[in-house]
Amino acid sequence: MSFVLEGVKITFSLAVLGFLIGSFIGIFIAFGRRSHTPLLRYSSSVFVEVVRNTPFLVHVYFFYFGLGAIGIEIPSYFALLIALIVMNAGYMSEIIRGGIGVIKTEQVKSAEALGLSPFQVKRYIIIPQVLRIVLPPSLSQFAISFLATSLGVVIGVKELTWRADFLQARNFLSLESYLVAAAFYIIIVKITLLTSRFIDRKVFKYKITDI
Amino acid sequence: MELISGINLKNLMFMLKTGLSTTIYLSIIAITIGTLVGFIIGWLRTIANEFFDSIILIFVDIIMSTPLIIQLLIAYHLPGFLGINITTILAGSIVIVLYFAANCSQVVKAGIDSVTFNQWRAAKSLGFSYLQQMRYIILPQAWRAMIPSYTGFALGIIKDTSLISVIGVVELVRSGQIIISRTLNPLPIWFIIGLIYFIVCWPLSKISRNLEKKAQFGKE
Amino acid sequence: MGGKRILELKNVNKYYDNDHVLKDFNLIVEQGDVWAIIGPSGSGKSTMLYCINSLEPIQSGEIFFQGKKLSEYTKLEIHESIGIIFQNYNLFPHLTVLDNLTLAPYKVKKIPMNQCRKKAVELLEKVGLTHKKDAFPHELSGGQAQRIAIARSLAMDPKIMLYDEVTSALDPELVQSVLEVIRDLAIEGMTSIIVTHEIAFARECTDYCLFMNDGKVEEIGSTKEVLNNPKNIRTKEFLEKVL
Repeated sequence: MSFVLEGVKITFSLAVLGFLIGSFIGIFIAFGRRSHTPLLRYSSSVFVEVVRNTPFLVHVYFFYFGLGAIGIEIPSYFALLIALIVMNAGYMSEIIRGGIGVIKTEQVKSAEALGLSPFQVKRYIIIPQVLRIVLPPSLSQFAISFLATSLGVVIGVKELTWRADFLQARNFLSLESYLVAAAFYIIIVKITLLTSRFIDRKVFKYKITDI
Repeated sequence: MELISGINLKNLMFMLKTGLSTTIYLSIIAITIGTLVGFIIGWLRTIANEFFDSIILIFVDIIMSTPLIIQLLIAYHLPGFLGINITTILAGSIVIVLYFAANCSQVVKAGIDSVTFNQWRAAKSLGFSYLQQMRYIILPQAWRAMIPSYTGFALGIIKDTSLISVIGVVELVRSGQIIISRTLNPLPIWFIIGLIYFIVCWPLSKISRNLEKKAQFGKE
Repeated sequence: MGGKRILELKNVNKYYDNDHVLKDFNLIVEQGDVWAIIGPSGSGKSTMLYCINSLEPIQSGEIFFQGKKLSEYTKLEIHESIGIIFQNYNLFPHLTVLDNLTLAPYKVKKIPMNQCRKKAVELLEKVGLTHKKDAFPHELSGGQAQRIAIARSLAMDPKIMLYDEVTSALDPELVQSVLEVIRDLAIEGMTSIIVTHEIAFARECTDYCLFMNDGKVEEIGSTKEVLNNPKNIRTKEFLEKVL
């Protein structure tokens, strides 16, 4: 079923790109929400709230049909990608925000007092602890984003779900194609979950609790 | 929006009212039945032996790791293949309820598990029966752990009902698409639909955040 | 000795999977006795306590409470009559101190709430914590929490109180307040079995002492004898290490 595998590739590319670019943007938005400039703070908050309180499907339709109507013709792949980036940015910014400010100033002070340079403090004290907090929900968000790519089927992106649907309609292969597609999704999500657990165990072993 | 007044606005309101009411209806069904089923499953997992727990876990995992849209597509075609005659909305509702229940069961199990074994022991040694332990000691504490995730999922399911539009059920998104097919002007419609979802969801998310804060306060 | 026999452990053996944690354990407790149970960690002291109030099952031997076999009582009767305090107090964090004290008598013994409240207030006075009536457990210090835990068990009117290393998790300055409560109860005649590391306390406030090692009773007798003139080598070694 190389046809299906092509779909997997596309799904993957969408999920990974959407997640990475979205997370990158999410970092800025996370800091934006905490900024002192009211404009930044307000606009990033609005962005996050809008993204989180509207269905992803609506985002997809909006970027594909909505933008198309005012003359910006976007191929379906990119419309989905933009929607994914936006969604990831919104959700990841909250996750990242949960990791900022977790490190108490005392820790930073005592690290500096021990003679560590600011760079070293960041590298050995702050980042490991922030990662420990941020990583599990991030992986979980990746899984969600991966599953969200399935909505491409409604606008004709030839990702996994679309191909399963296509096969189903064409060959009357009963539900096999759906089940095969489902299996792929389940496997990837499972791997993500296990990776999260694995990292948690390994990283957790290193750092004892933050008191 | 201000395209042409009369027809557009009236149709709009009517369709959206129909669509929105279906969305709300589906959400309520999903949340009430789903919570109940999810609670029972989650609770069962805490008392079941390893074997049954694994079996339940497999089902829950599958439901949670498969895109909702595929589950809905399957629900759409499956009855036909099995020769069962049920309405699309019923099939879709069942899928949504199960989906929500699966998520709930995880939350419930995690919540109950989060109560330390010492609490069980203390309650037991004061003479409480299992039911009493659950009711007065364990569940009140588990509830606090459950609230954040639970409200998150509940909010999510309201948005997820939008997917049922793909198999033809006329809820909010679908009603919007119907209008678009008449007015051929997608942008404002999607704006409005997004706005309606926002109006419904945002207050709920505020409430859930308040609940979260309250749940933290007053506990160790 | 010569009082009424309230508790008897006869040739009790207990296994945790393949671990033989209690070996032919024998103990006779009479009403009003105050026992100190000492011994190294892992010797099975806590387990022994849990077997007495049937939180843990035994594989062979018998435990008699008030003359009857433990198995002939309902769980409820056992928990009503035998109170236990754990090392980490285990107060219910979502309830106030007052509710912690009244919940069990109200729900388990079905005593009317106003009576429960009255008793709770009396007990709070007894342990010196009346002013904490409406506080939550997380607002208490370790010593205060432990005293509330004792009050909570007392609210059920037990005939025996079991203490499982109740001061081991406390900061030193908080230990005294808890020990005083235990001592006062003992003086009032509460049959008490106290697993402890506080040898000085044992010497002062207990009548009898049992040294346990590796699940076995190594030495048993009046506290004066066991602590001052231990006959068993291991007892001697242990006391030397501890004192």
